[in-house]
Amino acid sequence: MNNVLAALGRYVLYVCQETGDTLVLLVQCLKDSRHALEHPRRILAQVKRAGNDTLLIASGIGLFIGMVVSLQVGNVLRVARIEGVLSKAVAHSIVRELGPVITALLLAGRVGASIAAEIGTMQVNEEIDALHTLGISPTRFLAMPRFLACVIALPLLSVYASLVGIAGGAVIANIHFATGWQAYFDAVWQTLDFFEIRMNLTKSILFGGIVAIVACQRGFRARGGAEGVGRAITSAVVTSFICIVICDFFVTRLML
Amino acid sequence: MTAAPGGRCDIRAIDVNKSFGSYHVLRDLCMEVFHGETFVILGASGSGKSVLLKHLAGLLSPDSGRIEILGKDINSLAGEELLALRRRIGMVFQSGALFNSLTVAENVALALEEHRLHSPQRIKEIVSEKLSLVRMEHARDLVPEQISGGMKKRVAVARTLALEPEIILFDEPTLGLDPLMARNVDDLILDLKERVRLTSVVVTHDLASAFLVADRIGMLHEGRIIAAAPPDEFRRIEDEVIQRFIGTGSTWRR
Repeated sequence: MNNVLAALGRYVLYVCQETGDTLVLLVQCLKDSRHALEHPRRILAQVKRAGNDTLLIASGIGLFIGMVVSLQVGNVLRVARIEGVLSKAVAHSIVRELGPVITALLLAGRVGASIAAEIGTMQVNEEIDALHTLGISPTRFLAMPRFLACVIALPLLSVYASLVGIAGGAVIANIHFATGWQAYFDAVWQTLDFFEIRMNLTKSILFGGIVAIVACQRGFRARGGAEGVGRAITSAVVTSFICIVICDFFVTRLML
Repeated sequence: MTAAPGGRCDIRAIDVNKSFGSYHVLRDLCMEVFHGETFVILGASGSGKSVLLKHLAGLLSPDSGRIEILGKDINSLAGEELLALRRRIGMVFQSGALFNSLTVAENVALALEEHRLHSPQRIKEIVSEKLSLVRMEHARDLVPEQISGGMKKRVAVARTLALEPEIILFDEPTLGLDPLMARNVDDLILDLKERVRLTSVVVTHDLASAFLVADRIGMLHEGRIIAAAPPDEFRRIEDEVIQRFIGTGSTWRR
């Protein structure tokens, strides 16, 4: 029993320490953001990388998620004989929830993992120590550009994936439920007001920040060669997933 | 410790202690390094030489004790002040620690560009100058994985010199190099001593290298500098640990 309690205590301490480290890194990145315009190309390069790594997959996933949502919701609505509101239901669920969450998970898997790998490798190869001895802040040089890039790139990707998802939903709505293209898109544009877009953008900005900060923190904490880098990558992806889902609930609760 | 040469003290460690878990690496360690001298720290593998060097570079903080670099307590500084002091201390890592995604020239230019110390044209000139100093001008467009271990260390020296530090710390500069390349790196340290007059601390367990480059040699044993003296005096110190260490080294080299 004592051993179980001791293990639980150690785990709680570990989680508190990691959370504290991540928050300190977040504050440091926000502070360092005032230097962002000194090296704009560095941030642009990271935005490009995030876009290149995820755009194609975001298109595919967005399309199929839209089709699945349309199919599932359409079947339920058909029972109640209200297929006419299918487009609204698809637009709501994709723009408010699935668009930002799915693209954030995708960003965590592709870009977050690669950030953790890159910084983790630099850490175990003493490159981070070398930056310190050159008087260069690793937070300003490595973390801040990646943080800003994810905060910029994820909203763009999320809006894009949401539009692709709505288009995917339209295909199913027409083929299976014969809603008509014009009627579908008219209803979608009526649904997409400022509130919907604001919820999409707020979530994706927050999720982008989470992915970057968690990945950088795990990279900086990597120890013990290749194995340590591997652990950092896994931890970055899993932690990002958990944080995104929890954050999604609280943002939705606050905004509704 | 034997008497050290006079003059300005650039590095002073006072009663430094450091433990990792139950492993007590540094125990009430005291040392002084004077302006312009090359101080070599000898010690067996695992004796804490690299840990000591990281304390001098401000990369690790002691559990207790004080480290003064260029008159400032490095562990009391933070943020911009710490970064500013670190720019005055260069460190050449065991592996070179070059940035793998950058070319040799970009590695050397990085700190100058980041701190915006000079115009882009002047930075190019400085990069060429420093690479010439370490005889690596020909490799400026190669990436670190395309050059040998010895060349990486030379580039790491050039990168460190680009900021014109007042102190340079070498962590096992000849480790993993063949004897010819090791002497090549020693020549580079001697050359720098001659031409740049830096205060240097060299951590090594390579005796040939130590006796060649040192103005003074210190022996790190059980977490303390147990003796420090110019090379000729150091050989004559009647201490079992030192004599055993030097003796083993001579036998090995023969």
